Amino acid sequence: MSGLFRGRTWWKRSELKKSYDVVIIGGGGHGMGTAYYLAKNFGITNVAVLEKNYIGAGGTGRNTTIIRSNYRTPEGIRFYERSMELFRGLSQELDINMMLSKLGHFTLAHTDSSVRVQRERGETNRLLGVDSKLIGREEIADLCPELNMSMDVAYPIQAALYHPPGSVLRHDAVVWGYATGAYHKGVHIHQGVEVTGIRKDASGKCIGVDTSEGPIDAGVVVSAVAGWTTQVCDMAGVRTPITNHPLQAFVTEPVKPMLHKILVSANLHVYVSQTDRGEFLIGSEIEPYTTYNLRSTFSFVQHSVANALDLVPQLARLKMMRQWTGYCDMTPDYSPIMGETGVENFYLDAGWGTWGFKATAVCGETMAQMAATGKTPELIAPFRLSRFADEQMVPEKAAASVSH
Amino acid sequence: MAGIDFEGTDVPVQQGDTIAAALYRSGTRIFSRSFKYHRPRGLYCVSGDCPNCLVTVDGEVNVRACECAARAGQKVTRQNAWPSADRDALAVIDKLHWALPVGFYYKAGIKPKFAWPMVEPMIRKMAGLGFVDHHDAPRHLERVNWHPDVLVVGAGVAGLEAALAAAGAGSTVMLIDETTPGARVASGPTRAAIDRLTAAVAAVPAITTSWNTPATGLFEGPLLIAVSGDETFHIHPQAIVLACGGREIHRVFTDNDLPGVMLARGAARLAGVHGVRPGARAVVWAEQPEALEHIAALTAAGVEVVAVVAAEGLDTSAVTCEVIRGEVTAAKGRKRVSAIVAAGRTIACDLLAVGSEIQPNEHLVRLAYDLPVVVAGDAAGHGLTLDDAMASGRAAGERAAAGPELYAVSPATPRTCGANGYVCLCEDVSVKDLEVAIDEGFESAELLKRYTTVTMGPCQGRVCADQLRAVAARKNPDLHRVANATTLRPPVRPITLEQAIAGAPHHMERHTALTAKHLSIGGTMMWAGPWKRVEAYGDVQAEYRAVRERVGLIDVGTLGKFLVAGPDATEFLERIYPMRVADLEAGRLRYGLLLEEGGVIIDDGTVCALGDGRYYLTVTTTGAERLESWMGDWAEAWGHDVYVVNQTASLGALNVAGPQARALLQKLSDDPLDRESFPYIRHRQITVAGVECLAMRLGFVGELAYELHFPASQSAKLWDAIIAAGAEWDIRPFGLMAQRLLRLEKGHIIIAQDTDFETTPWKVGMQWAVKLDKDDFVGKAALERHLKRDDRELLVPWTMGAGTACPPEGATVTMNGNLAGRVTSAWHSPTLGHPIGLAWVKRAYAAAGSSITVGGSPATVFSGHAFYDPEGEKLRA
Repeated sequence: MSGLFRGRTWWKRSELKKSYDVVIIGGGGHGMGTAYYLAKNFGITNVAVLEKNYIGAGGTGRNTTIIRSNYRTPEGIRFYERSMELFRGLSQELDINMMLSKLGHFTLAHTDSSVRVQRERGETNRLLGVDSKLIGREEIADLCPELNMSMDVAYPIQAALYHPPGSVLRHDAVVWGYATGAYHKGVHIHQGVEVTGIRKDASGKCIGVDTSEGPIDAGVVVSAVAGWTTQVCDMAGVRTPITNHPLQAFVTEPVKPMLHKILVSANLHVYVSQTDRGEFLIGSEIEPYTTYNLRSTFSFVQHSVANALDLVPQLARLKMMRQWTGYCDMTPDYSPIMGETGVENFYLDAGWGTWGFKATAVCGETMAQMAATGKTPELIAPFRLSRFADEQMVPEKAAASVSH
Repeated sequence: MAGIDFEGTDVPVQQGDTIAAALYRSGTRIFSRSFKYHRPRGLYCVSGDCPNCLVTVDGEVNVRACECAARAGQKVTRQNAWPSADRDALAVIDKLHWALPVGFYYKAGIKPKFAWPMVEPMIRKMAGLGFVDHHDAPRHLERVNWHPDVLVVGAGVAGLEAALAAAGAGSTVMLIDETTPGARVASGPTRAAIDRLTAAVAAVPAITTSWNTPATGLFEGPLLIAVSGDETFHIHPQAIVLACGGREIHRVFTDNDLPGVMLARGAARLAGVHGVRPGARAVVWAEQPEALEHIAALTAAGVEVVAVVAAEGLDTSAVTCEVIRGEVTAAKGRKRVSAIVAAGRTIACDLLAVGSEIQPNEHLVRLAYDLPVVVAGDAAGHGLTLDDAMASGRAAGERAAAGPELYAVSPATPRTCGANGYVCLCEDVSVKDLEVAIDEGFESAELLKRYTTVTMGPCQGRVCADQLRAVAARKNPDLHRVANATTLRPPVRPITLEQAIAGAPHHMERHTALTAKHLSIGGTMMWAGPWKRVEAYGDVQAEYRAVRERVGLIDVGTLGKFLVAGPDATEFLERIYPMRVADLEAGRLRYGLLLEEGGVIIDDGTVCALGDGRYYLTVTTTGAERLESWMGDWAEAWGHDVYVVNQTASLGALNVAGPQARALLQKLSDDPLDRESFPYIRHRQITVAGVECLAMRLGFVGELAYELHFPASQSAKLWDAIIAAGAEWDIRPFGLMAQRLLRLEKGHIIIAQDTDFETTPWKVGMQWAVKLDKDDFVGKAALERHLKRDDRELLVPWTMGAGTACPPEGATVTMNGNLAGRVTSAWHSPTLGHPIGLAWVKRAYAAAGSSITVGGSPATVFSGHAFYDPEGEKLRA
């Protein structure tokens, strides 16, 4: 019960200095994680995190809070497994309850082709040591009696990839936890400071940033801005194959717990889970169009609700409480872009599409290593920006697209 | 029961009652228990904003009792209490505030590590309001589209005036309100004006009204969603007048959440509209003139108003009871108000009517962004007089009728907040909680929201958002850099999930003209993209044998079918396809891959040259929709004068395949079908059983085959004729499963099953289908780059020894226990007597003859392309 009965300071405002060893653009989970691990693993504390809005305002606070590692490629699996490992010890390490809830994660398959894809994922996962397997209808009904297993629907459930370690945890707690850890080790957190330019010297090397509060010198600049990556990269003269798509979700009013698994449907493009607060969290796949408009749409509601009710029809008379939208910086192969950019001392953590939250911990760890050593950690080497020019992609579409 | 069944008690219902009114009249004071501390909560806003009267009605959870009409026989229960809301055992939590500091969840249950998984299920059980009835199935509800010139939301005086003005200016008008006009307003000048204007509106034919129709969301379009009984309205106006009124601001003071503390409009509604006495002794807290008007309604209902607490400067000359200048600082009482404290005085009462400043109902307004919206009445100002509100409505109606105009919205400025009490009624967040959270580092409203959960409950900030901003601003006047307002989002009023999907198209299911026939002969259907196709007719092996040994018939009407014509058609297709098209003579056809710019295979099919620069294309069942727009985009990009006509639905297609296919069709056709007149990979216009067909000789299943394309209306006629003529060879219809097996024996790939979004022709051994010496085609540049590198994985055919069990599709390929690839297709080949398949295999192991492990069993990479009839003699027969 440490810390419960005493007040605690999570963070305070700091004076903005003219120079830092490392400037991290973006106060989301990835940026804060990077700051924390820089301080913890490398003793580098002369670090500033610049956030134009408030901490966790972007994807960190808008995602579906799912963490899992049942990806498709060995590169992806290794990477997300490390993230799960870090997440599992994070509450104790940061002395903040992240409310990690190991509910178990279903990827439901409703067509023969989807069954094939999920079987392949399960088999690959098993070979690489991830607890994940294809299960049939009876086992699904046993594990999740709330699911509609009727054959008399348009897309009857045929099988599921079951990933018992699949969990949810409180997304805000993750970014606040890293922020607290970083702050108490000496990192400066600046909210409401917007980066307006990337400064380079004559040789093209990155030497700092321009901000709404004036220029700041930096030995290393890390961009961890997800949906705003293309803008920040434009400032640095770095081109990325990223497109920005909106992703929407909604919650219902809270009710007593009835669903204890995380449900994702590969064919219906919908996910359903019930939060600790009792709300049903329902979402869909990314919108097909690109935009920087964060307005919610009703067509999203109609599609995702219709599909969610196919899975759990007893939610029919629950009331929607709130819908929202976030940005997804999508890459062609549904894998991230991490590491070197071609501009010396300017590193990128981007391309987080719909899979950024679950990577938060490992991103913090590896980007800190990148920034501290200047060498690309092995775990993120496959995600280098240059892979697109080389056509050496890391195809995760089948495992990442709707399977948040 | 004659009345409402309220937790087993029969509660009488009077005409015009809401559930809240009926329950209140019968003596119910505690309507719910609060989310966290299980504090007793009574009626507060009586207008659908606050969470205090959420009850379960006939199994539907979180129904606002104050807005829901009472009906005899309704089953009503209160929520979040055990054993009952009146005597809630969990109210003990209210004594444990010290153990539940703000952010409690983040601070507790961390160590030891095993504690949280044990605590969490208990916390889950504590959360949530109401139980979901497991037997509820979604009802089918209707969606109604409306297209008025002007939509007016809210039928108060401003909304009614706006509707009249807009109609007077010649517009068609729709006027909606979440209740009925005047339903919340006790008699007086405002009610009289509403009644008069409502009558005037009813006399204007250009105005359509819909009452009890809450607006739930405003979206781009503009599209306004409203719920009207069992219908969901999708309203598509040219312009919108938002006259959704205002409400008294939530005032925060010690124990401000006690039952008996009510907003003055709410108390007046109970008294003046429902004839329910809201209390015996009341204090009215008046911060604006309207609050004083409610005294009459309260008095008429038998309430003794003992004192008025009035803001400095408010004209109270007409007040007959005692007037105390100042503010209410506390309420006293255990389960309901017994007294209030104001200006240091304690006054005994059982009702405090809070007539605080009027703030606009800004939720819809803040969703308007750049839409053509005009805001009128209290929604635009702060507590307008009756005359001003009416004038504002008229002006808004005229503006809206004059044409769409953009409206810019600025958020309201925060007001003051007391030092103690509950800011958030949904989540039990107090002023102190917020102050502690601010001290801990959560300065801005957005962070306070996420940390304390203020504004995150069912009211979604309608009650508390303003006071949240006030606390944050008071504590931290220099909150300069971070926005100090939470974002308002849909829905404005709750909408059930089944209401949300009313009339929404769901799961488009496409059928060929032959589905009924397939079903009648035992066909089982499966999805193929948006289509339902026959999986099998009960016996895949028999269907397979019929094709290999005699003759079979398959409905391929789902194929994408396009006619491409126009002056640039040839040039267009030369650039669309990676193979040559220009050299196709009339009567010839060619297999073609379709690639995207990255050189990745996205579809395949055939091109028939019809002559005169016209072409007939087929693509896969799942590809037609996407490729239609894809081709259109390229034609546009290249400026080609070309027509791409999608004939997928208008044409049917059947494939007659097997050694006896020619003999069969010759029985039905006078056209020459022999090998010389109609050879392989040619097409001809022939007549079969009186039906004109475009016939193609193709070889997907590896036998002599004719694919017939014809008007879809002729499908049944042709099917029946072919089945009848084939009887002498025991013809069998065959489904997708048999087709997949047949094609696999030929080594043919299925796009999206055997390919993925990285598959280039080289990786699947189909470089023969690409002519890199062509000038240009979609994907050429990428493929040229691609050729400079080795592929990491290749799609290879493999075989297994007889007697080995066939691995499932999706199985892994391993080498020494390490992942080396994956199986995309696998079948036991009846002809060869052993399993065969296709698999992606790492380049190092992909050479012909290599030994690999497939699904745990030994297999060999096959050296050829086709497992069956490698020379293709059968299909050329």
